Amino acid sequence: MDRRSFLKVGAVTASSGVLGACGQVTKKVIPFVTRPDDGVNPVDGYWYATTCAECNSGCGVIVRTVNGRAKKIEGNAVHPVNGGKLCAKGQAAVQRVYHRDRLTQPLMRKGAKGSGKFEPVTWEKAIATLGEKLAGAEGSVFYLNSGNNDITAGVANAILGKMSGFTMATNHDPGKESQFAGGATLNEYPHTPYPDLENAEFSLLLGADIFESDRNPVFFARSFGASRRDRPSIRGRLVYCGSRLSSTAASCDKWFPVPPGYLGVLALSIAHVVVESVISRGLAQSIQRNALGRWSEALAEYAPEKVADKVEIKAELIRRIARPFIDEAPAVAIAGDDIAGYSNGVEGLDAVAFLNMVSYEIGREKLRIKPRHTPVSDQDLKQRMLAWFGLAPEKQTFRRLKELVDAMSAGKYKVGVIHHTNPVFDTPASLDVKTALGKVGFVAAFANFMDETTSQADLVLPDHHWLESWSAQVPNFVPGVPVLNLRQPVIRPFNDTRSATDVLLAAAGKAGMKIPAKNGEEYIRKIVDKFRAEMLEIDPTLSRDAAWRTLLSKGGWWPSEEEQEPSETPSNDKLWAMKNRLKVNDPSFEGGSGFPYHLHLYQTVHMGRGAGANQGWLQEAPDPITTLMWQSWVEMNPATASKYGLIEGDLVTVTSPHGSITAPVFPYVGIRPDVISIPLGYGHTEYGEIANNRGANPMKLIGTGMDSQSGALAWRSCKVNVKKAGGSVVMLRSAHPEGEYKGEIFQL
Amino acid sequence: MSSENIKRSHAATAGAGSHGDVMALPELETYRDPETMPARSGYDDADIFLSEKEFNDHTLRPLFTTTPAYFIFVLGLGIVMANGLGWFTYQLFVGLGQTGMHEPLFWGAYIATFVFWVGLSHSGTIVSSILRLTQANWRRPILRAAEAMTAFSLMVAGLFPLIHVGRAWRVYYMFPLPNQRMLWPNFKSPLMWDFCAIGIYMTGSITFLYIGLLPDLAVARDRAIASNNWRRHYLKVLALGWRGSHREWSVYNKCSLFLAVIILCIAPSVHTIVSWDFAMTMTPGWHTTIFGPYFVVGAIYSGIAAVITLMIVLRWIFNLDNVIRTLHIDCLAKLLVTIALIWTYFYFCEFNVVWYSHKPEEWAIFEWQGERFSLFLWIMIGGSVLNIFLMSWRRVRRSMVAMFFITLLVNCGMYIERYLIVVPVLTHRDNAYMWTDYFPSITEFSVILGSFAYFAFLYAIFIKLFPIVTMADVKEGVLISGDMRLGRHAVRLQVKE
Amino acid sequence: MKSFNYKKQNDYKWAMTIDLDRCNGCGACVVACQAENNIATVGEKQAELGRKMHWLRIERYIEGTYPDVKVRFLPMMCQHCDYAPCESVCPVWATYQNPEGLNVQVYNRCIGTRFCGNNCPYSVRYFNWYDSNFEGPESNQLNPDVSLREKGIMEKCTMCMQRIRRGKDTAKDEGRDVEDGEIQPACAQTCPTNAITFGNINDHESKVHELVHSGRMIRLFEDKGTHPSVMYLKGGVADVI
Repeated sequence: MDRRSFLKVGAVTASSGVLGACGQVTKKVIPFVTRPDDGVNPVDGYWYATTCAECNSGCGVIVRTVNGRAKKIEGNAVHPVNGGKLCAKGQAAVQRVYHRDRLTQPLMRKGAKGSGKFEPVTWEKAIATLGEKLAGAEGSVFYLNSGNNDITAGVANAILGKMSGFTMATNHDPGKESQFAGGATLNEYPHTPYPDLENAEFSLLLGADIFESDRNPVFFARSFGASRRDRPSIRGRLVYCGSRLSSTAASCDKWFPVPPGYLGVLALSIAHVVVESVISRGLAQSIQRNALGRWSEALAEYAPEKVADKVEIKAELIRRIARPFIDEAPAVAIAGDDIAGYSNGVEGLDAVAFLNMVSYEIGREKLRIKPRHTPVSDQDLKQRMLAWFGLAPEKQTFRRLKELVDAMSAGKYKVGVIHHTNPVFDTPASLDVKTALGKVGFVAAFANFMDETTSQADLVLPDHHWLESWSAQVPNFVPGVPVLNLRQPVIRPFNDTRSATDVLLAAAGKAGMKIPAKNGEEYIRKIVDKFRAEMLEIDPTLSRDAAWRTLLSKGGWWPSEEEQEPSETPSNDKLWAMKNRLKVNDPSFEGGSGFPYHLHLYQTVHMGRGAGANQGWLQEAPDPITTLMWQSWVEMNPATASKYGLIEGDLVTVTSPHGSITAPVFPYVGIRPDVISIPLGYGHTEYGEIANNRGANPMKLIGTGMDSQSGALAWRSCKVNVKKAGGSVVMLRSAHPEGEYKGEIFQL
Repeated sequence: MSSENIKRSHAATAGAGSHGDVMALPELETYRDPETMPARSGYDDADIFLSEKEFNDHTLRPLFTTTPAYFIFVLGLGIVMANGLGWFTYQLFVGLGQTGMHEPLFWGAYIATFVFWVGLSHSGTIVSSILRLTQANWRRPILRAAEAMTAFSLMVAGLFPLIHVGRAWRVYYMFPLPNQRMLWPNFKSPLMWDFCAIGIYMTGSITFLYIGLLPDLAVARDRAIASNNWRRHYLKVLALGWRGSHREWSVYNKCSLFLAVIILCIAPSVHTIVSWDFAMTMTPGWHTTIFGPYFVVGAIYSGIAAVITLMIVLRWIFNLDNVIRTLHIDCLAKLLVTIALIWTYFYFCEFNVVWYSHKPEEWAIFEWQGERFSLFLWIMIGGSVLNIFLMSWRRVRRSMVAMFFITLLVNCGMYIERYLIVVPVLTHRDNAYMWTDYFPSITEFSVILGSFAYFAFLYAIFIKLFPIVTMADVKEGVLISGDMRLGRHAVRLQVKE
Repeated sequence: MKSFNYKKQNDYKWAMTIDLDRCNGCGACVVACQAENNIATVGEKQAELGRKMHWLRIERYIEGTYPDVKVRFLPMMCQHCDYAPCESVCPVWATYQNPEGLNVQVYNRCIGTRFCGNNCPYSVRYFNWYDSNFEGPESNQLNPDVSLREKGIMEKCTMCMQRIRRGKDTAKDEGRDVEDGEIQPACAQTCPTNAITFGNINDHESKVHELVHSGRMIRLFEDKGTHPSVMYLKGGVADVI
């Protein structure tokens, strides 16, 4: 390099160095200091609308899928049931798709019946076997499901219903079943109406655990939120009466502990105050005087002073609770499990319905807003929808299930089909479904997981998760508007599973039976066709495919906002004609003098009846009231516990006339001293590693007593005794036992 | 000090050449049996009654003679250390879940132990520099042992942050190194102050220890060369060719003095900053202004107690009765009583303020302490008060057995104090819902036990490699406090440094 | 005040209100948060040690004795303080205040001194005591927008940062500001009682702004001066009947 070029290069280097130095100095420290946006994917993925199947409430959901995998489930904002909201179980549903315990291939029983030993078989063989069995089972087939009103039940009914001696039974939630049962006597439609919590200013919850086990927790939670704070200047007030301060009661303003089984009496007592007030204030002029006079007479024995001792609320307080039902503001009484779960359940539900109606009728005189009950016409629609599904609108009760199980034990059935229900675990052990199943010739079970019932089957048919399959469903309880829910596969099947509907149709086809459709999708499209033909709610100009796509993208059909006219409940003739039904008998309880405590079983928001017990998310989510995780417990009033020298975590044996279980004690101030409370859903034995041997199954404790009128399981009418079992366990509680009393630190 | 004396002292202590072991002070009464020596005015229990050769032999014996018991001891320590290391390695690979910590108790026994070791480190250097600066004559034999303790307890303490953090392999993020990742530590964090303070203190303490060692290294080097011992290799290097010249001594003295002053300033700041790890937070029970001085006093308290324990042990093991005298223990005990009084006062202040104001979130912690750790509290507070009473008696102060147990009790109490500062506060945080309890896991126990073994191990190795008694200082003391015969009378010679 | 002047530098200052009068403690938000943010399930043994990782938990307090019992629910997550105690104590700047008022955690930087957790009065920071166990088919559910956390680092509620980011990106692509209610963290999205409201407090038309100024607003541990972005709406009346 010569001198000149050296100078040139040098000058360029120097000047560029100077220029570079003049530039902006990096002031921001970027890479490791700023959060790297947590790696947002360039693609949001796809959102598909479908319907949640974690319970039978029928909430609409949208599912986010990325790269063919379901990532997150959210509420469908336009759906009338849940309005974009979801409960914990719904949120956790996606965990079931990718669960390590999922059944991945059909299994054929290998060992003795009920031994739980299986060998994998091909789908072809499984379907052929099922077809063969169905073909040879004329006159002795049953189909058992969880009462989810879906098309699988419809298809089963359509195929098997043609055979003589076909039985269809339902293993309902005990809490929900009673709701079907009640109210029928006073209402035109077969269940207790949806109370209009949303517009009420005062709500009286009579044992109604509406956020836990009632008709639809999400719908009620929405209404609750709206009643509390959606209206300017009006804050909905809620009062809870019942034997345990449930998480619903915790959200209310006041809790009255009422002895188990006497809530119906309380309802009548309040009705008494209302009726007397109507009469004394001279409001009765235009109301049918005769009826009022009759009621007043019938209710005389329910005067607050007379029942105060029974319900353990002072007469004066009962009158104060009744005041909102007389006053201007809309008030509603909501009946729930703690009324329905006793031998006088239907009477209690009727009493609450009566209270609501009387209060409404008085209000109507003054043209006040009052609880909007489900319009009768919509209920008709529901029945029609069920008919399209191929489902008979018959009432499925526990009595029906019991008859089925008795017949099974008698060896009456050659073939049984079980679809996503676990009666061995979640019906009373005294019903002994397990033994009964052993007497059935051939049991085929559709399931996602091996569980106590599936392991008793002869053929296990792994079903799609509901995110992978086609289905349609009608919600069990319709909140004011008719709803037809559709389910579509939002992801490809993750395992080698097949939809129960398709398998049933294929097997029936193999057996040479007449089948209503080739597969589930076609069956649903046929329903939609019928629906369009009869309802004409969807734009008739749309082609068949376009209409179908519209429905799928929405997640189902329901009337749009504008189409929903606030319907007024017509004056109820049944009410005015009512004579001698205003009576709630004292409850009868199982167990004699040796059993001093009432057994109060309940469903927690996370476990339900136990289907969620194999999900880590739900096991680890602390129970709202006890804040316990991963275990079951026995709730007792601290006074009761100290009587037996029990402290938290001590093991206690709870004995009923039907059996006994041992579980740790959780002293809880929000429970009556004469009540022992145990959550359902724990104590699985064959439901995978996460669920197994976790706590005790309290279904061992209760008998098969029923409400004589409705045939619903009286699941709270059992009495028990407790005994210190010795030993103790660590309670996995989220709240510190002292800290939980220090809420004042936040000055809430 | 007169120049003559200095020269004499240099000649005596330098130990240069082959005749270094010859005591150059023939007029000094050379030996007196310490036990049978009649108490005589003008003499003091601190005086050393050995000839220089005897003295050198005596103090260097641990260096050059090793008994099988030593190896067994070190092997035992090695096993405990290996156990701790094993558990730590497992924790490193698996995760900190191996400890007993959980939300919201994020700091547990590790941090308590860290504070304990940092506290222990305050004895040595602080004691040594205070005593140097105040020219307390009795300090001389204990300086080395105390300084070594500082260095080693700091080394042990320095491990704990590493053991404690979640990602020990990323701990260099805390170093202020310019780098491609543009990482820069947050100097607003008390942990960074802590990191710096401990770094500085460790550097200072090790320098202080090393500078003090130089003349003694030279003596040991000469012996090692003479006896062809393998230690000559490193002693040659480390002695830096010390010859004992006038200039060397002059620089040495100045250096010691400067370092003493500097260390004296650093040491309280270090433990103040350690206390700020706690006090700077807004956590009730930690957020208090008294923590700075309280920690410093606590540190000195535990440190002095540990020095006494160590002295008694060394004296017993290496037969140093002639060098470490009852007076030394007595004087240290007096210092300990003073510090114990101050510490108890601080504890009282801290408690009294919380008790009187009774702020719920703060009182909850003390209530919980009383409930859960009542035994610990008795050992800590009761022990401290009891010690103050006991040590008021001269007989107790001069009884080696009594002092051994008293100082051990003090350090148990101080360990408990650190534990009670860290743990109950975190188990009973502001948010009462998250209250919790804590018990260290076997991993924590093993690692902490390993840290004690590690400390003892370092010390044991040190003793075999370096002179444990501050020979030069002692000799200087002998020189400047010897007798001078004036006619029939032996007159006490008092020369100030 | 720092918090309400964010407009000067930024269009957005995210805030959240939780209406305690609406909250029924159902726990849907807890599971939604877990599903959205890849939060590990720690299992029974770790839960027993108190190491569950829920970024959002529902605290339950009891007042009174039988029969006059009142149970209260208090959803508790990172409060995203404007003057966050956790930020200043971190020696490696793993947590800091982003320009939109969120307190963010940089997982890469964290070395796990856990000082932030000690200085958080709300106890809402969580530590990865072990590597999260997402082996097997469960890993298919993981949200690709949210990074997994290694053992040894802290994590906490991000107010669904990834959703905020996506919402802002969408708005930017369409050349507009983010609309009120467009961005919903997983908890607010699912809350059945609509107790949780999220929005931009700099937007004076927003719902969250309205609620904050409804007169019912309280902040937790207000006396600590942390000035949280998560605010609670007090509720409840003493006399109901």
